[in-house]
Amino acid sequence: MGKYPISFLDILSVVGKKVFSTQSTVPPIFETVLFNIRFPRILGAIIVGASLSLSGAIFQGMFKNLLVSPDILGVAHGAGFGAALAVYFSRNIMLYVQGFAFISGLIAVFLFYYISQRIKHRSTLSLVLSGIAIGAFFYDLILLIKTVADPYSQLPSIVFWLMGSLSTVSNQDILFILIPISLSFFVLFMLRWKINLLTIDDEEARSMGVDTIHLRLIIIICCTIITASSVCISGVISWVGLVIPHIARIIVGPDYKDLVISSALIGSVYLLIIDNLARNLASVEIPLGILTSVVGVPIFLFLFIRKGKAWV
Amino acid sequence: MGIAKVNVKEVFYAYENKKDVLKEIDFSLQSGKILSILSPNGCGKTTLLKCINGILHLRSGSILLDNKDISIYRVHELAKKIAYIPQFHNPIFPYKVIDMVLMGRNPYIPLYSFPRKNDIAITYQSLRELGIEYLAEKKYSELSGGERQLIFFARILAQQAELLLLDEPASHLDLSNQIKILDMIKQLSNFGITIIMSTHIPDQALMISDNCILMKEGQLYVYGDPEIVINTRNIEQVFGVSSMIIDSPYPANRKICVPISSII
Repeated sequence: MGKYPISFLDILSVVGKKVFSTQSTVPPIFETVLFNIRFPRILGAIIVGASLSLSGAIFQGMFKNLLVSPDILGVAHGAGFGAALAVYFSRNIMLYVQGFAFISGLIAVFLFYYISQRIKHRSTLSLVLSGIAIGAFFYDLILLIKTVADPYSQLPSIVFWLMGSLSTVSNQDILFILIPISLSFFVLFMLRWKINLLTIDDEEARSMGVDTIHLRLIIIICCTIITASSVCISGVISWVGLVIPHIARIIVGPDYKDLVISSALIGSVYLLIIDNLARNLASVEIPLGILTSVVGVPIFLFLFIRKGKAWV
Repeated sequence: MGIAKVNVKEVFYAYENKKDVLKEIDFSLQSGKILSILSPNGCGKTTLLKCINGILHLRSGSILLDNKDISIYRVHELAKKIAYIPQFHNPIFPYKVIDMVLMGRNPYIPLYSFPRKNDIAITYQSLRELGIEYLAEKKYSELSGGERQLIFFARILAQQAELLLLDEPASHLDLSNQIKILDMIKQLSNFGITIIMSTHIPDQALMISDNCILMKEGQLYVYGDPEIVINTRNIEQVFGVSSMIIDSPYPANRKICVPISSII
């Protein structure tokens, strides 16, 4: 199975050895391939897919706009910039990369939020445009770091944040983002019914007893942690956070109590499939970020033609 | 004289250091009564309702609910006492009616928690009370204007508040729905709920309210019994419109205000 062929029986044998300490005659390289390369990559695809779709779905409600997602808001590129900056300052340690990514992602969100409050004639289009502008700004900052970075030691990992990929995910990376991501997931999971109240007018929500400022802050911080963590291990993967929530909405409806769970599930399955295609479609690996766009854009346009009237 | 439910004391309000929108508003309202705030558009009706709801913060003055300043209530505590129907509503998600109404239960549902069986039962109960249980599974976005307004009434019933603030509840509806909504407001007050509604139609105030405020340019022009304060002179002063006030016998048994022409 796969590019480095391992038979199904050998897989069972290796797993058996790891889990039940049974005797195994397969070469140890099989174990390395399965547990240090394939396993973290599969887990990475699941986590990143769930993260981007979940935060996309929630950002859409939070900003009352069906055309936003972590990448369109500029959060993803904001986080990517932070990560690249950490690498540039030779802090190629996961803690720094993640911390920088989170702070920089948060700056992007609040920049977006501030601008959206300042626009006089607030329309869906103007919000999307300001998000795209913020995203482009951070994208260019990453390019700037790219030009000044050391071409041998730093450049490869910086380019990586521009073009999403799961090929370098290690068990250590997964372990590192697991805590912040699962904490944020848990908070959002518990708040998922209340998110509904932020999709209606703020004043109306306040009259129903919602502390809108406080609640929105918690939710935006959690979504940003999730986005930044996934950007740290996979770079900017576009379109997933925009397309999957719409598919989930078609299936379970707009109630966030169901939408939060279904977005995460569909997103993880989707990215897992896309990553498998990326690995196996051609003799060389297709960068994941390219494939999510190639698949995501047609789906988005199809949905947009059919349902788009309600989105703008 | 019953106990005052709402006490609005010397209230001033201004948006971001601009000119005062509300000036020296001062009145009190007894429990279980209907108060109409009557004025042309843009005179501060909506602003006043939002102030009473604690959504906007006063520049000076105070608003008391059951003799307690509303600013000391926490947001969800206040929502158990006061419910509000805004004038406009722009939904972006096509929620089901039942989910919309269920949101009214929010003040009783702690953060990090979900609606319980009891909340869902109360939600269905309030739909039933308004005779619109059949709409429960419909999408809110597919309803007519009159039906949408009914959904909001179901939601504030689910909220189980003691004071309702209604911003132009019957202004954007056709004639039969207008009457239906006004009848419902009357019925709610019979249950002992206190109601403050804004309107720009004098006859709506005459039809159902116990008290009436006429507002002019952010100031309280006159406050009292609608049959007394709604007269040709006051209507002329506040709206710039000449009118006829007719004493209508049975079956209306009330005064009727008919606008005639604008005064140049």
